Amino acid sequence: MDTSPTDLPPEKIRLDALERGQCAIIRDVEDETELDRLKSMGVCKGRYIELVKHGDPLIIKVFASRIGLSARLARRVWVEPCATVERCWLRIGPPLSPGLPSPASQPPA
Amino acid sequence: MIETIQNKEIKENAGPFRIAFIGNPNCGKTTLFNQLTGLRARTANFAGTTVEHKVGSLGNSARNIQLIDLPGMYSLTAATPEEMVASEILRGIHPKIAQPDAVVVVVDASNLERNLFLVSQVLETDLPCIIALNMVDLARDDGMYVDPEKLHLEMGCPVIPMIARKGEGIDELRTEMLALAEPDALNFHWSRPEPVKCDACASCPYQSRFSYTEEVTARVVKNHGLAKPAVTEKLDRVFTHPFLGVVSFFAVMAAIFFLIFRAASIPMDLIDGAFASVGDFLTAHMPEGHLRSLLVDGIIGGVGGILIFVPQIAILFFALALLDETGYLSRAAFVMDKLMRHIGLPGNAFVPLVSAHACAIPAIMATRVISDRRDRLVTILVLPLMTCSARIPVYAMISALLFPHDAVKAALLFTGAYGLGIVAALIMAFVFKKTILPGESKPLIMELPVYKVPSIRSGMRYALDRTLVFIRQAGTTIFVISVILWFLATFPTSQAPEKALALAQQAETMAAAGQSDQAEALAYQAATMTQQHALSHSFAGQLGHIIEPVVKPLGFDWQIGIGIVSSFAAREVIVSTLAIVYGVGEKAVEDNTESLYDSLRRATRKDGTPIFTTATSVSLLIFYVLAMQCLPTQVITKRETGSWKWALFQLGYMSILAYSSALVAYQGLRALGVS
Repeated sequence: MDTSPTDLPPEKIRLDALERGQCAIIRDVEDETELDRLKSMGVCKGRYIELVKHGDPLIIKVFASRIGLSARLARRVWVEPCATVERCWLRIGPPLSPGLPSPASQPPA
Repeated sequence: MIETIQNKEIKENAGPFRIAFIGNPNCGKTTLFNQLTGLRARTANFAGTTVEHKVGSLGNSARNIQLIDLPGMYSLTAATPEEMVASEILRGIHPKIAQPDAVVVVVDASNLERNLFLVSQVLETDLPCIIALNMVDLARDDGMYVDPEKLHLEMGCPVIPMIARKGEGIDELRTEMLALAEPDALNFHWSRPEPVKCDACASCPYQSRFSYTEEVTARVVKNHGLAKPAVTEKLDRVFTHPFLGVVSFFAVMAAIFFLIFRAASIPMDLIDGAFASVGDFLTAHMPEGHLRSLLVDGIIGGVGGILIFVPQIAILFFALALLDETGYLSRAAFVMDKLMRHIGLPGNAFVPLVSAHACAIPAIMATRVISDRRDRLVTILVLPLMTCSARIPVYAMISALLFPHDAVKAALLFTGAYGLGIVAALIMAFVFKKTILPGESKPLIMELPVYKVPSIRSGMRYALDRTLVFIRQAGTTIFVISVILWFLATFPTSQAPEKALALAQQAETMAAAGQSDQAEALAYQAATMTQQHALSHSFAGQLGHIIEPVVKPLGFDWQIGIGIVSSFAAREVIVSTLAIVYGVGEKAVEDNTESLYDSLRRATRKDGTPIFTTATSVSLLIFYVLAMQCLPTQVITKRETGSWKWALFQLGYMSILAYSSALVAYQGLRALGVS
């Protein structure tokens, strides 16, 4: 997984330009009704996203779901690749809020 | 508050307590709905739309509680007609359907961030609400535990953790719903979260709401770090592979077709046998006359002829339901998407196109997965061009006429006929997308849900439900048309020809003399002759004569004309009609098809030339590949498109296509010297 830290300043690239398995934060989704459905599925500004598979259509992961997406639409989503693996929620789950006990100590009921 | 109570009383007096079910696609909402309503649910369209929903009652309660299954949706910001209707009903602004009294939001616990988006929107409608926290087992597999108590405090409404597929949590949810429907349920206190403030709505109205859902999720989810390896990712490496994915798709469809043609033959034979015995019983016990003829030939023959396809329809629905539940169907659409774009249709049009090779009816009903209306219409319009199983008897007849003893050529003819249907459908789809229904097809946005083991029970329930919709919708029309076609073929009655009378008399004499075998043969010959005579002189026969000039350029005579008239509602009827008009007798179709084919081959025009020449046979084959000739399909097209306009258009374009193609083939072959 090639997501080694980088010193380069953050830059916006198109979603389909991500490497396979690379994680990114969505910076902008073009404002068109065609993209509304995608936004309501979580592909909208501020969310984390992973490119699972290249091609047309390609596969992305947002929250816990995998979405098949035409490359034409993917090109209208602008993302900023995550600098480190740790920054991506998709990998480690949502950050724990301060009040919660540590993860492994509380098995499910 | 007082006002609310009064409203509530008015609603109570007005009818049942209505609870709407809403949730993201693939959250298990329909499974849960079926668990709660069982067989009490029925499928209906929302008034004035083609948007379908299920309505059922919650059993075992004093109060009449009605459950409404709304279409799956990601947000109340409507993008499709389905979402539009659901959203309007929930917000109480639908012109015809009243706002429900309460809502159950079904939530996929393994994908809380996204599911809570819809929950927060529903809460803002101020309807009483219960959260069904479904699929907690999947969440656990992902290494997550959602705390229902914390979620309850965050959302201010009851939260029921459950695994609907396994029936866990169903009783708790039922109890909660009953409590909600109690007249004093308003004591139930809601501490709703503040409506989500939107700071940056101009650029992305979704942003702040998703930030909110992520925050809530972070507060209610405990990661226990026991994530199982993702089976879904491994399977998807094969099923979404550009090459392996397509190969496995065809393997899956081939298996389904094997199932349809193999497994369906048993119940089909049973249905056929049952109708035949009822017919025989009536023939034996009723006095001869029009009433008996109407019952046996008209109604039992006509209705039975369509109902025989019900097993195939049901099995296809069953298989599609299982495939859908596993999560595979969306992968099939995914891999076929790129290929389908070339003709202007989305990937999810492909499964209906393949299914239509068994029967166009379930295929048309399966086009609901296509979200764009134009894409869906185009798919519905071209589906009946695919070779359905009712065409097989016709193909078999023509291949026997052309290549009586050559299995290889007969196989090639079948392949050619199937290929012609497919090519015609693809070309017509392309043409429609360029002309009457223009516009680029909607680009693919499709969730690829986690693979699940399907439930046989819910698959069967779905198949039963869909099949009943078909029988209810098409039943009446088929009945009426059966009676009309019987009338056309029976009236005006004519005297039996003298030759037949003479034969019948001869048969009686022989029977009296003890030569029963010969007598029977003669009697059969006489009956066949009478039948042929009666049909030729009936309205149907006259219609055959009337349309003869029209079908003559295709190489058809008036007898084939009768066949075309009679197979208007069901194409396979032409085989038995031709058996009658060419004087073979109806029995021959069942007992000895060879004798039918032989007689057809020997049939001649008045000048002594054979009727079924190569050119005529090819022309007839092409006509039957491309013509509509299936009334039940038309009824379903009307139902799914919402108007007879499209059903009639379908009939019109297919008739023109069939006629002109048969014309070109016949005249072309003749010009090439093939007669």
